[in-house]
Amino acid sequence: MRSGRGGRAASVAVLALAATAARADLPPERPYGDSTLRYRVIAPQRAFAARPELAALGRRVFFDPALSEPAGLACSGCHDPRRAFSGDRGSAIGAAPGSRPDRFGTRNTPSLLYARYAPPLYLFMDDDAVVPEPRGGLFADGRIDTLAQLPVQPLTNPLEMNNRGAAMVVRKLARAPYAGEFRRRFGAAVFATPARGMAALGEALEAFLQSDGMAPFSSRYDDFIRGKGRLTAQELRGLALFRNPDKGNCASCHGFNETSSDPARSLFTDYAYEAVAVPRNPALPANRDPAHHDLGLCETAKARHWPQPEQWCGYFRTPSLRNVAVRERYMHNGFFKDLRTVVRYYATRGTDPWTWYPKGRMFDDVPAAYRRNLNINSTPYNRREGMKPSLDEGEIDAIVAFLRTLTDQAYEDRLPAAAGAPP
Amino acid sequence: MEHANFRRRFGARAYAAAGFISAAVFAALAPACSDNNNPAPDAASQDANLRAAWVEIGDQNQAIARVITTYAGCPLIVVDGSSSRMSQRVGPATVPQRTTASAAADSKPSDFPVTVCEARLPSTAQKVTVASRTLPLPKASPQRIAIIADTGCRMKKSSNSFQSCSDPAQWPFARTAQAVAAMQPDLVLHIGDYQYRENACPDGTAGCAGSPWGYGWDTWDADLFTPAAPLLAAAPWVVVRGNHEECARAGQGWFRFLDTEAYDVERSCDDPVNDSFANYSYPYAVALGSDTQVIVFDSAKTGAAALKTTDAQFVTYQQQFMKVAALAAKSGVTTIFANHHPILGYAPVTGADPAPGNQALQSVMNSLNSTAYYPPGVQLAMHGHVHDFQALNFSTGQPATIVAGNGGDALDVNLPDPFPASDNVAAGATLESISHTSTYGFMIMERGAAAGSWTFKAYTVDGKLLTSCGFAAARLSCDKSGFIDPNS
Repeated sequence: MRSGRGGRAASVAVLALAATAARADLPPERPYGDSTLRYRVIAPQRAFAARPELAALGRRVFFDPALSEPAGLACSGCHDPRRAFSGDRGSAIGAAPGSRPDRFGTRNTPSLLYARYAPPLYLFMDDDAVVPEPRGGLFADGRIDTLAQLPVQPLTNPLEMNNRGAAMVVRKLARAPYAGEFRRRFGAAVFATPARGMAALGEALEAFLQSDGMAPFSSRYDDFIRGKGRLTAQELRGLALFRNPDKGNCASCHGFNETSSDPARSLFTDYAYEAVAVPRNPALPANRDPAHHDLGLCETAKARHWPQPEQWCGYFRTPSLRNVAVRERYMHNGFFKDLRTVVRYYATRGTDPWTWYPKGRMFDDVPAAYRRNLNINSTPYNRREGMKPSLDEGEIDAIVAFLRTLTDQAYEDRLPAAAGAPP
Repeated sequence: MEHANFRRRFGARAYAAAGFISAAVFAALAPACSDNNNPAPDAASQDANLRAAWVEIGDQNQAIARVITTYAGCPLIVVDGSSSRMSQRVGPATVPQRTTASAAADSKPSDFPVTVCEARLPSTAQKVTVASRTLPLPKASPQRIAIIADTGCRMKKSSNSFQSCSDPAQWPFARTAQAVAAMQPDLVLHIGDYQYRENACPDGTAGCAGSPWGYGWDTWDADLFTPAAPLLAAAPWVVVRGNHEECARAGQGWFRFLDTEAYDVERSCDDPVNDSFANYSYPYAVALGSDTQVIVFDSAKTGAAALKTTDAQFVTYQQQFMKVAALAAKSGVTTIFANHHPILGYAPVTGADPAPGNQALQSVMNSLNSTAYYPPGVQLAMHGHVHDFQALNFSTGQPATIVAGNGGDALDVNLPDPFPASDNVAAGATLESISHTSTYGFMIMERGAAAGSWTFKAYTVDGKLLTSCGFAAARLSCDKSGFIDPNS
């Protein structure tokens, strides 16, 4: 048997993907005993082919600031190509301002690099596992299955690009300098309906996000696994600690294979979900309301009519760690400002919780009703308060040193100074 | 599953005359004797031909010498100066591809280009050699018994899990075997899951590049016989079958190499038609001296859900547990029950209470023994399957339980600490104490001064003591409770 991260929820007999239509890019589902549960035992692989001309069109859309309302904020405004297509526009609060500068998103902007590998949301159950677990999907809550479906979300989110619906986006698209290219590729009537226009826009952006330029695999780590470069002793130590199940245990979620020369086997995520209980970020405007909580995957579970969706409250998808050292902020709510602090948080969340949470308010960004969903099992944060952390400060430095090697060549000049002494 | 044919469901063991250790049996299996003072050169007995040699213990404490050879015939075995030829258990074969746990495209025929030879050993044997190898022999009263489980290197396409089998840090079974052998055990108990190399290593993945895959000899050699060689040479083994040895997985190798019964092509897992027969074995007991015995139980094919009483598997397991009850009914003997799937042990689940023990087996055992689950006489249960270490006591009278599934395959996540008090492993069983950790390692049980008393010690893969648990009167007393930090 192997549960890996342990699978999910003892109450599996009622968990289902009943409302999810079958998709051609997913392997067949299997029933789970006599229950309504359906799951997959073969992890789906996202298939894509180069479409350079369409990708070039998608790139123009991606960098077009006229698509926001008011104009001025392109996709690239938040997904900053200088920061590995992530960033919060220098907001310093953990989320980016939208096209209206008085409005802020509710989450840290994820990197779009390597997004082409993310499978659609599905339930996976290894045949040795006790219970199935959700994997895949786009956004931290997995609410979107394909890159083509993705653009409508930020384009019409009032806190982001603020269009009042797909029709407004498509009207702008029809006036864009590259509108003719859309008509040539998708037909003269491509902008006749919002649905057709958004479908074409989605396809173009998907081609761009699936292009090789958005998965450069040009980091020092990639050179290392290809046998073209070396890591320092400190970086190799960090790699070993990152993998060691008794120490960092990071690889149990941020999966990779340093023995494979294929960098696509080192995406540093298993696309599964984790309830880490990141401290509440008081700087987010949405958090001024004490009743507001970002519940993550359970909102998607509700939307898809999964039984007992509350069991997924507090879960967010494990992100890739590629280019993690050049992020502007960290974790889904942008609470952390630097990478070393994140690693230190993982190492001491259990042993020294009041460094991270207000005294007496452990796991303060998760409603009490959902705290039983949190991961208290995994090394390093399975330790009780007062126990010795599984990583010491020097080991934390080593892991950070290793994580810095995951920076693609184009962003190496954005790397902050190497970590020094602990704060 | 079939109901009609008792033999097909329970195996040759149920039909065989009660196995016993006798020179007569040994002689019957050793037809070609020779003068040991002037042994003729024997091509079959050249060391270079031998790929593995070991002794395992079966029903009625029958010690069985086994050899795997690349030669076309079996070697001579010398027992206390008397030489005879080992019997062929099964010859070389390439078994046509069958349905497996993987897709057909990720499966292949199982190639066994080796001959497996065997000889039953008399209980009086003092020295046994094959070629230049001296085989370890069972001791009348073993003092130190090693416990390992779940030792193979995971290569599994469906979960995209490929351990780096060539990296001792990532797949440490060879280290485990060396560390255990260094402790000079009198006996080794392997509680199942020997072979995990089910699918091909992806191209360009150095960590498993060149590894054999599938279920043939080469995978068994890589996952068990080569890394375990020091331990196979150190002590006789008691072998328990795991779910990785069910017919759709490595069952073919299980019957060729490890099963303690006579080889029977109908119980070989070669033909899926016979799976409902070959996926079950009759339980048997191995005496550990005069005061303790271990009952070996085959749960290879058990499912996870409770069984209906009309389910054929329920009927099969129920009859097997009746046999367990008969075996355990020995006054003055401490009975240890060993099967692969934890029955009153936990499976960790992140973000939720740990999952209870195997409900299929619980449902059967409950039908026979109510919430005691085990029949009278069973004082301790030992399992693998969950890839961690657990030592559990119950306040409701069930036997203490040990899980030792951390022998080399990828680890499971830790159980929570503190352990949720409300989480019952089975209806009517209340947990009283638990010690646990998830780090690679093994266990050693050492005989205590009082009859039937033992000390169970859990070690890391490098031999660092994690905890020591005294055992007497169906209770474990560990010197550490809750999560055990392997770093401290």
